[in-house]
Amino acid sequence: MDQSNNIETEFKSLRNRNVLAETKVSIAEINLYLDDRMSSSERKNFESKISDCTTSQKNYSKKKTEKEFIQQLIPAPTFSSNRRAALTQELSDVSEAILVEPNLSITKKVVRFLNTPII
Amino acid sequence: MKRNELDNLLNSIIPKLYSFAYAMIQDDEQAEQLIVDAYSVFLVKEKSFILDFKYNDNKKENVSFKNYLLINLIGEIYGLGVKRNSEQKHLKKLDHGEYDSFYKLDVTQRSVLFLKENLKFNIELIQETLQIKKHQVLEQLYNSRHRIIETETTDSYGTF
Repeated sequence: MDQSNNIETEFKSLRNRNVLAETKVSIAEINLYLDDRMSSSERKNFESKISDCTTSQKNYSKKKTEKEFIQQLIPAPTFSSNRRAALTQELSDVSEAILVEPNLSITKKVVRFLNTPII
Repeated sequence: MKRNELDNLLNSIIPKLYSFAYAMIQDDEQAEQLIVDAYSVFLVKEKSFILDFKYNDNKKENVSFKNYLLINLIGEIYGLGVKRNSEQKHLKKLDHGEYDSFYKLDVTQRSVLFLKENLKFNIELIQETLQIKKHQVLEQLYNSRHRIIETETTDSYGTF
């Protein structure tokens, strides 16, 4: 039983290899192209190969649609200028608390002390 | 580097930090808190390097410092986000509305997918930011894409 399953799998992979032989670019290459993981020469080569193969074009447009669909499912939050200003202020306070500059001159220390509110 | 120079640089990357933090925790206030906490951790760790860094007119050096700031802060947000997500497992069961299928992904899958598709990071940069290996980045990316489509189509058409 196991052996017949193995043979069946092998036939399937051979059949797939024949299907792939008809196309000029593989799905992996399409993914690389869409993910911007190709050099400019590889991109040009990919584009020329895809332009003369309808099966590759079909696969490419399917993968591209899939990618666009995924992008719509990812949140792209924006926040108001008020919230941004508040967050900027909060981060600035953190910098002030942690990044205490060493070797602060006596004059600066006095100015800072005089500028600090008592309450 | 002076504090106001650091604050200005930080201000320019706040929208990216916020969108990433929001991808980790879908709540405005918690996302902001995550940024503040991550920034504090980062400053404590890198204090002497930041104080010693000479910020000047060299554009190339300034851009690399800005990237260093972005990568490190996103890395810290991710680290804290992973911990907070594991503490709030009940949130996974909630309906997250429009982006439900995204928030149903596991936190690393969500981060990798967000960095790739939204912030346009390349694989090597994601690897460096999240401190995971290249094969893990690719695995998480493929799995997240597959799962998000699967969840979305199952939720839209119902289970059979």
